[in-house]
Amino acid sequence: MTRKQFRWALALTAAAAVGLPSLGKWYRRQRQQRCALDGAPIEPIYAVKILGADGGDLRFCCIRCAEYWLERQSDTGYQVRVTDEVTGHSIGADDASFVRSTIVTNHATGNRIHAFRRRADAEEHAAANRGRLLVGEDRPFQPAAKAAESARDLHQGKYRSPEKDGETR
Amino acid sequence: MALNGYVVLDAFFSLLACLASVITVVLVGVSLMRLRAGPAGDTTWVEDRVYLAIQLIYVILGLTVASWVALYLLLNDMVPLWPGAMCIYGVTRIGEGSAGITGWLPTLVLLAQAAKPLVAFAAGAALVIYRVYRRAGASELLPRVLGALLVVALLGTVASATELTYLGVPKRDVPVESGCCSSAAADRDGIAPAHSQPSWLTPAFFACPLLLAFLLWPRFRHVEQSRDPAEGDAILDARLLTSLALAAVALAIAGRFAADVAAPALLHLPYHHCVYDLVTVVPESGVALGLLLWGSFSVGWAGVVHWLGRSASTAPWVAAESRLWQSWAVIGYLGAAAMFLVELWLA
Repeated sequence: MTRKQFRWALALTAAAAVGLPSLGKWYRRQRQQRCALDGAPIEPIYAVKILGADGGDLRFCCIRCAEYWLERQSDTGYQVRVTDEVTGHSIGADDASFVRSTIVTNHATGNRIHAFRRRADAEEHAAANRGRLLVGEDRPFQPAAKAAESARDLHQGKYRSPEKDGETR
Repeated sequence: MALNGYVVLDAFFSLLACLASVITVVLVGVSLMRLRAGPAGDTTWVEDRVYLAIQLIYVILGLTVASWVALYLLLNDMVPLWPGAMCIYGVTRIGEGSAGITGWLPTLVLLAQAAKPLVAFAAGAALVIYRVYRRAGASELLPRVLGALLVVALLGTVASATELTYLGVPKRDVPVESGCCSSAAADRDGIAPAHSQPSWLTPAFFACPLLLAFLLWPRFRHVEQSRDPAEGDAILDARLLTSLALAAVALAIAGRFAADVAAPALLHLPYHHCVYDLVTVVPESGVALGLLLWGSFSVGWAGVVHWLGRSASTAPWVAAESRLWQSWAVIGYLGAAAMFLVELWLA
């Protein structure tokens, strides 16, 4: 390999080293979906999917947005899928363990609820971030108990502030 | 297992590779025997067979790369078939703890994955020795060329036979015990989130390729050329040995870095230490890993040609070939380091 060829090869590799990651990042950003409630970009690890009876699906940026949207619907029969924060895989909301912790996933909605596939992961997150496991009626997507409370929130303002959530720890 | 397009494709590539490897083993074996038994200096018959064997090595190399890609496409395609598997890692754990031949599935798939780069490296090594042999017209290199070809053919046979065995073992009713990679691996190995990984890992990962690029940089080689041949050779020996050792360390560190730093950071999943998902979701990181592998292979080939290609009549050709692969190694290492740096910065 001559010196000129070496320099060319090095320059091409340098261009690829800068260009490919930038291109990849741009491509993935283009594909990034927006929240069906507030249009915010969806961070894949916190994504929530609501499947309708007609087979269509809507995606939300956090659990709070999905709850707001659900409470506005008059018809039922929706299936909710949340994202396991450990693996990034989608799981049914009924199978998930939820934790309310100090970590805010979305500053617009103040969502502090995190979803995990395994209870052990949820407990670990709760212990590490001063959170608590949500059980029974505290779990998100519980229609009866939460509907009234959330409806009040919606009338008072679109979202609750993050500080208000902190009180429930 | 379900017979889908990727199974057929992978089996087809592996079968052809196995066939080509067996033919090469026979061809090279006969040539070696003929070379030993025949009169000294009469190598025409063997040289003709070596030429054919080299063509077969190209075929084996191409089929190995094709079946390598087909294997990962197949594993990815199998993910939805097992509810317990969430990515390729889950599929590679199918059969774990089972009795009988299905219990061998994880070992078989691991061997099939590890054998591909070995075949590629060995084929490259045989081809660089053959290049020196052809350029210099040095018949004394013929036994070494044949030896290298035999190693490639044997490795090719083992690799393709392993893959065919993996494809042939029924998997349909074998449950996956481990489930998702990160959860299972975390349970087993005590893996911690990305931020609690050892602080030396990232600096060590970037230091190794940079150090190797410095050692192999063309200007640095002039030190050897400006001295007398014996002294220059000794310096080159030491430099190549150091580079080879460092390349092995760099590969080991890169494996850990990809799983424990790059995957959690680039996937935005702090607990997810999965290289399979990293390459699937962030394909450019696969290019970076490929460049690193290319750099390591190039160092290896530079060493192979330096130590196995040397004879009385090949010295200038060996030096030129060794320099060429050292230059490719520099490009590979610098490219890999730069690409990971940009990726982490953009993440």
